Amino acid sequence: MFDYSNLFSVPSGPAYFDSAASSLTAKPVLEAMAAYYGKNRANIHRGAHRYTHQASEQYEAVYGKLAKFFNASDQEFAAVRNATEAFNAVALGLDWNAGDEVIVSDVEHHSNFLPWLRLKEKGVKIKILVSDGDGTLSADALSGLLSKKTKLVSFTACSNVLGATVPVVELAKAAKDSGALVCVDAAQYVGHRPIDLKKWPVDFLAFSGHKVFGPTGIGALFHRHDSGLEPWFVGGGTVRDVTLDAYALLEHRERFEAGTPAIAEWIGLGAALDVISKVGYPAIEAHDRALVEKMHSVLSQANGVEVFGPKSVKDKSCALFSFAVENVSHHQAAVMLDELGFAVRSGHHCAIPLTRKLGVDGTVRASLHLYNDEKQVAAFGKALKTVAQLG
Amino acid sequence: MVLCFVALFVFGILGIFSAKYRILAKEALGCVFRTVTLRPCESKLDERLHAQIVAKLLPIFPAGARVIHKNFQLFSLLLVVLFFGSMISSGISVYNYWAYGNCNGPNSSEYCVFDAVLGAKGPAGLKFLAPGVGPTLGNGSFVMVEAGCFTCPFTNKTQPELSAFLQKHPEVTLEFRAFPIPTHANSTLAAQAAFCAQAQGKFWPYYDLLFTRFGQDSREDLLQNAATLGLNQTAFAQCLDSNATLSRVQKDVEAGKAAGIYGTPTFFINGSALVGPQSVSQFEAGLAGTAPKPFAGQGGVCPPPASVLAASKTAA
Repeated sequence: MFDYSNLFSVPSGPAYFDSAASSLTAKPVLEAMAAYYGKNRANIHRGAHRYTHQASEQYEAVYGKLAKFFNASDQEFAAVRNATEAFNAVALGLDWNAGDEVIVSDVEHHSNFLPWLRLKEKGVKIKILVSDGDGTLSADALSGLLSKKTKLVSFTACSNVLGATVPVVELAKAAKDSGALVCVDAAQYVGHRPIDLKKWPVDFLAFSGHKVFGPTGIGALFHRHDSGLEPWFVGGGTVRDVTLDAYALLEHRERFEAGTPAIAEWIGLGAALDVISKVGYPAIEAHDRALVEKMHSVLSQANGVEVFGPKSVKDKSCALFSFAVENVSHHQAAVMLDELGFAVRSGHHCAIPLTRKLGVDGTVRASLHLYNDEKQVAAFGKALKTVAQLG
Repeated sequence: MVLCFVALFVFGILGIFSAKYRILAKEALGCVFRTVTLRPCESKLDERLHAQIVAKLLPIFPAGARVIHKNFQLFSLLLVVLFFGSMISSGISVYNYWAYGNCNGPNSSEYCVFDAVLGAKGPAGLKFLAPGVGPTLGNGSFVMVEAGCFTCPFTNKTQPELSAFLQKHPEVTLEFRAFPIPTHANSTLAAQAAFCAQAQGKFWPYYDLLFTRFGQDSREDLLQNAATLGLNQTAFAQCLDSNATLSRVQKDVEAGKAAGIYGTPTFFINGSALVGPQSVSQFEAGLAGTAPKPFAGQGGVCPPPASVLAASKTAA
């Protein structure tokens, strides 16, 4: 197993097993942001001096990176604070009518659930795409829910609780065939698996920088040019002309980014995508596979541990695992594992409907990435056994 | 969750010094409130405390961690009982210290932690008790003043060494000043008895008898001592009941307080104050002027109550 840890700022304390909440930061990201702040910090698009030109070039280049990374047009991306803001932007930026329907799955993060649920206030009907026991979504089940009134179908490409592989293309095709828009939460997915937006028939896709080795407070929203999305905010930088009683928005992506953006973070996000490209998805997938296999083995050997989600490697598209320890609460288990050298997350992971469906009030979640290795996972197994013995 | 009571106290104290603990104290307060209103803690502080205690034990004592994990409520209850027991015990100790000058209550001269912690009693402000007032023993040119209490075990303890020192050094004259510890039963009466014996020329034999029969200090015992020494019983009894005798003892006490005496025995010799039981060599160091000046402490002392010392400071 290749050691990628030198690429990242790895803390010296407990082994970091919480990448699904936030990955560690890649060193090139820090360098890119420091270079901007240290050498040419200036606002973009609004000046004639060399620093603003340099900053604007660096900022604009990130759109090109996104376009290449996702195989889409650079005009189809907007900077957002995170995936949560992106889904809210879509919910706020589409034209809704009473009676419209939105289909959303029951494995969603609240970020991709609450914005749609709130549309009920506008008379929009919410339908739930029910997952199977492991959190997998089925195109057949979706087809049963689709109707002429379905305006949008939104689902995750990888559940942040279960890590199950989702048949994104099948689901998206089924939705598109019925004339619905498709929105995909790729927050967990982007760091682990490649996305080709020429092959994915989706209209909206969002992810956050802090889950792909990038900075916090930045993310990207892909919105297909014909999706009908209107800006959710207006203001400086979004308009072509303004009179005392009207304004005309710019045609392209600028119309979606009102005000001074998070310049350094956006540049950092570009650097993070470079890191993923440099390592390459084949290498990431291979690394993931080894970690997932090891973790499956470790979890299956731990008595008194109930694992949620898919049990086979092929059904996992993100290296994350949720489990419960018998007679030890998820919170207690996480505190104990921290003491034993592993930083894991506990709770409902912002997916209360899903944890409720699993019959628990929360789980322990161990999520892995490039800076983790099999040795750590083996040691984690020993620690988990120690905790499980309390039960 | 009963452990929140302990957490509130501990984090409250730590919170004085650190903002981090102030937040935890606030959580503990909320937890206490919910516990007394029979509702579960919302902050999960109880769960965290549970997990952290068990987690600390896990790597070093897994079996113990298991027992505590499975019986955490019982463990918490035990801690809370111990906590409140300790608080009550501390409260009693503080009261004893204030009222009797010792954490352990009246008539006790055992070690008291407040002596070290508070440092209220000590050499600061100790002045030399001038000789020429009390009964003396010997004709030496060096006068050593002893401020003592006939019911104090430390004054009693030092007597063999004191006798040996005086026999070895005839150049030393011993002068006695009474400093009866008011929390010891009969301490003032014993001092009065000694001065009544002095009136009949038998102070030092009576002094020796009081220590020989240490602990036997009731009025009957004191009268019996007088009979043993062949003193006039009627005169002795009248003297013992006399206000003048009591007044003399009180004058010694006032002089002792003014000198800053904070426990018996205290010896003043050649510029040094020797506090507590002394060995011959320590007395000799005092005599030679090589003892630490102005103060040399040794072992325990019989302290007067803090209230008495406070009163003397106010008076001073």
